[in-house]
Amino acid sequence: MTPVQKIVDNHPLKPLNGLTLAIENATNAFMTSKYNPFYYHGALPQYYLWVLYLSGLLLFAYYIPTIDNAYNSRNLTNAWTSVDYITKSLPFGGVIRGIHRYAGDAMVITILLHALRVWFTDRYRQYRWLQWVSGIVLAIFVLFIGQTGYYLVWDDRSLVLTRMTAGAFEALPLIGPGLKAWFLNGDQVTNLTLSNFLFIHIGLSFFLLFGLWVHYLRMTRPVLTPPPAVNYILTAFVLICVFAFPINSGLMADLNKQPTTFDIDWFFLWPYAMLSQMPVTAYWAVMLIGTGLITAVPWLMIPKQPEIETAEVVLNKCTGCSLCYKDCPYQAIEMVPAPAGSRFKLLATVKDFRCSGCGVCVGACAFDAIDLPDLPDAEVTSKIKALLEAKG
Amino acid sequence: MIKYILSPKGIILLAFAAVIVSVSVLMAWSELGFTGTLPDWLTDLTTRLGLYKPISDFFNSLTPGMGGDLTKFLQEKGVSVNPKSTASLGDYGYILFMGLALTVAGIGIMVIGKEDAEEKTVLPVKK
Repeated sequence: MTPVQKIVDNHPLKPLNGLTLAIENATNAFMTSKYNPFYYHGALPQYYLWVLYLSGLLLFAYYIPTIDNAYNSRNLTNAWTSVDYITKSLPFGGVIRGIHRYAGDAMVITILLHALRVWFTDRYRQYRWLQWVSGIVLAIFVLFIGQTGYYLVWDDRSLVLTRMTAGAFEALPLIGPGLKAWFLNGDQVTNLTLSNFLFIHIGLSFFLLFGLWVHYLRMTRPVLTPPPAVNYILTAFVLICVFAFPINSGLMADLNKQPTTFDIDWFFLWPYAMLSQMPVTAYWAVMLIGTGLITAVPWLMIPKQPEIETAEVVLNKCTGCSLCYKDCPYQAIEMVPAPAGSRFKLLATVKDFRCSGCGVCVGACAFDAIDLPDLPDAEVTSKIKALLEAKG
Repeated sequence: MIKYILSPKGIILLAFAAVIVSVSVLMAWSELGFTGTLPDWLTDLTTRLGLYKPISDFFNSLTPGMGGDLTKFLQEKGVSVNPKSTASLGDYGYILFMGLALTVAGIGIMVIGKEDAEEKTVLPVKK
């Protein structure tokens, strides 16, 4: 038994791994693996990201980020009235606003499913720590972007959320006052505050693309798009929600009042529910420690990582065909020019720091030119055959 | 280059680009009230296309009374539209219909595509 196999067998989440695989197998029974959404769990949030970009484009065209400025030709005086105009007067404006809102909620749900699946099936540690950590950062950004979307509506809920956020930022030591001034774009809520919210909402949304690029590093063939049939169902889910739970704004924000109650969207606004139930210092402590613990999961769950036996290229057998390079899931193989005198143009080399010792390259090579030190080619092939035969 | 532009693909691309530029400019024209001798084209177009209709028309044509029920459902949920605009509760009807159609289409594709879904694992032949 290899060290990696030993870790997998003794993993504390092994029962959950079994449960996840059982659910996936049950889904395969009536959807087949081609359309099983669990096999596209990473691509699902990304699909909703494209929906959010497109629906947001229309909202952006009509949105006015001010609290008291005028656009009198259409009797639009501030952010709230522009949102009201989009919702009640623009053809399909109300439903596109609904699509934007529910695609955001759906993105949070799919991100959660993605994270749980990765965690339960043990796909987050060692060489995949980068995916886990960048995923946590992306999830935090998604949460904050969604929250800024709620500020933009500029109804009574927006006002409460803005004041709660500014208060929470201000309570932080050292950076608090500066953070509050950055958030409000000044010392208090002004027209510039909503401009800032809009900038954060859109600017960070595009930053997500950079974050996704980091997220995909070390992945040879990330699945970026679910098949069209799955996309149809994902879209339908949002559209039916738009009809079943139509979006309305609250009352227009009034800076001279302090609303005390508001509807809460549990997907994005749960931190505010926490903040309202505890002192601000305790809130930050819980959030920072909680985020730290989740980020450290790859190291906390398995403190002693197994030693990796990296693949080795048999130089006199390698033909430079690139099969191992194409099949390696972790971009651990690099094709370099073959040494002078070789009858082949390229030679495979292994980047030890990326190799997981998984043996995929050994299975891919048709020339017995790559091996794992403790797992010879013949043994890998016989294991694969045994697994296939067991599966029938 | 000229050969490409005059090809069917080039003509379609040019026409597509022209439509995008025209709609982008006209959108601002309509919104800013620079109507001049042109009508408010967005309102005019949606009216001509029949989008400015209550939800009941379409759904009543499927089942009598269905449109009224859906309208009542939406109004109870607080949905309202500006009576002077081209937006209507019918927008929500289109979205519901689109959602149901996409569900049926998705399930249909999955059923038809099942035959191609069998995985084939081929082990390389060692030389």
